[in-house]
Amino acid sequence: MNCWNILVTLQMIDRYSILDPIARNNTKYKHLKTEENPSPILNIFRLISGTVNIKDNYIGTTYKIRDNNIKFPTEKNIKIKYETLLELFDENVTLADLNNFFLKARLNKKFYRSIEVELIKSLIAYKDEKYLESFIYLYRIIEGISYSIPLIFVSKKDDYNKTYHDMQSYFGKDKDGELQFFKRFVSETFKDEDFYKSNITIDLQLVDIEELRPKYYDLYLKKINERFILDKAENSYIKVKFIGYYDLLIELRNRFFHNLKGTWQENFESTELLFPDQFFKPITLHGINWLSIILFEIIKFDLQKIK
Amino acid sequence: MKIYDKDFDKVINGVVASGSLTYREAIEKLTPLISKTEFQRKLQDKKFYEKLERDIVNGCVMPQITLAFVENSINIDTQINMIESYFEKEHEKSFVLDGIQRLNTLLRVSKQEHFDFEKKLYFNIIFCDKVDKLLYRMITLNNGQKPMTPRHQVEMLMANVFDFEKLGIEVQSEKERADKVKINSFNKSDIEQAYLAYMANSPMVDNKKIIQDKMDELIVNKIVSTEPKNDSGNFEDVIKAIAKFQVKTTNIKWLKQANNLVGFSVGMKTSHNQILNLSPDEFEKSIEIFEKAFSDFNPSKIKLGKMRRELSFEYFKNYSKLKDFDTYELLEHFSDITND
Repeated sequence: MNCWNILVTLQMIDRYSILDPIARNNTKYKHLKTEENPSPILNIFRLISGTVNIKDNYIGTTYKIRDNNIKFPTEKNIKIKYETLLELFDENVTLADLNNFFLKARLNKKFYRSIEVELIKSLIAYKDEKYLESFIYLYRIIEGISYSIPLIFVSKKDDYNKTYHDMQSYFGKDKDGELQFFKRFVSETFKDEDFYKSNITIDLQLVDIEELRPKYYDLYLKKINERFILDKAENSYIKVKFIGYYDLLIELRNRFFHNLKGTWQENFESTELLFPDQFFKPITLHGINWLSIILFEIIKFDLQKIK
Repeated sequence: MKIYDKDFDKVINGVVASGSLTYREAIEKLTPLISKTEFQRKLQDKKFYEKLERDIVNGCVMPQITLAFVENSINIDTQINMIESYFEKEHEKSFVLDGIQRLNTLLRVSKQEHFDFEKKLYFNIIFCDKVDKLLYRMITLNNGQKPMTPRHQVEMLMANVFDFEKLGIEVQSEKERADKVKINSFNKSDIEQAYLAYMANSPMVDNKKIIQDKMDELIVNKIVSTEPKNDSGNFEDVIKAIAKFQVKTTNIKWLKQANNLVGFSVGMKTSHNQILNLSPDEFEKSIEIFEKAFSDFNPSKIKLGKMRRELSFEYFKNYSKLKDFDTYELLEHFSDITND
């Protein structure tokens, strides 16, 4: 086989398989089982709830994904079973219901498919303690969904009269792009939810090199709008409002991935960060958590259309 | 025991007195109050109490504790000596609002040799006519280092203040239920949930997906931002209404459903007058209309529980307007407000 052939073969098989550690031999709820149900919506749900293993078919490694990012803040699943899936839904939903939902969930397949690989990449990088890399994939997802999620949401409302108003409020006045569009959507749609009213604590203790904490603490603080800061303790933690965290993600990305000197913004110097993975360590998981919370709302929105 | 001074708290309409008693009196009169409460908070910070133990042995002055009475015979004009004699006579009716762990620590230390029984323990007493106001004060003005969670505080009040039997309803805890189920009894945890929601003026006070710490923070925010109003009813009205309506099977079945109970309770915060005046038959008719509209509304299972809570709240909150709606109008109203 020549090089070209190898490449083609590699593209044709998927690099990653999602293995189901819950439904090993159980055939009762087979539409909840990742190996049986190819639906990307199921995969996304199982990935963000930390209830799958991912096998890298190319290298042969298997990663156990156990961070339940639908919980706020992220909680580690110690033992996973069917109930882990169930407890994320309304008390009236049964496993048979879920099985049925995921059998019929055919909406927005392309959308879910498009984020699946990025999400896998982000979660695996996080597992490998490559926090910067994990952050990059997280950011790619946010960019990828920032326009489509509000559209999906609005297009499925039962009353079309109301949707014009909604859309208008997401666009805002200026031409300020898809990321702001998405932010307005999140604010408008979820402002009454508990997670929206809650906050995120950036824990500086996660930075392994103690000497770096004061430096990073200052750098984070500089990049967070003061009105989003609820509480802080020097070199120890910063408590940020849910919606403010989104701004922080965007800001950190912009300042890290650009290096123009002529503009008014202060980009990070690589010498400032020293250990980029350490810099992103206290940030990335909350970011994945933030995104997962929103994704789960979208999934529920899709599922609730199924009778 | 001695009372030094007192003042009137205009916000909670209660008398606040400050005084002291000896460790001997505290152990004799106050520590029994602790074991009386079925509820025990975990030692939150063991180190802190170990330190306090050592300090007591070394003769520190204990941080003052706060006692409370739900009582309306003590008012702005009551003289200090009257308060003293009231306490002497009625101390068994009081409960420890803040300082349970300190009293526990004191009790432990008192068993050591050379313990000074004559040392003074300073305290505040709050006399307040309404439980709700007391709870409001506890939550807004926490004087402890690590505040009790609102959930704990509600549990404690439930255990100490409400006499459900007297108010006319049966309440059973999970544990008692395991022993023997009383028919027509309410779940204690559901009633606690309803009270918490009532104080927060919001039917949504639990969320499995949000860790307890963050949820408690949100509940405290909700309670603090709920202004106490003078003309508002209090949670006893809710219990009284339940006691009145439960004589009909349909009613008690409906009310025992936790989501209904919570929605109904919070709704009563606004409509207590109209609802208390209903007869059991009228109430039955109302919930029948509600049920019909709700089942026609047919919410997805994905959010059935949440919807039941929110819509029963909506129904009873705006009862004066919605009581005259027929099923169809109510259904229309439900779809309007849920924007679905």
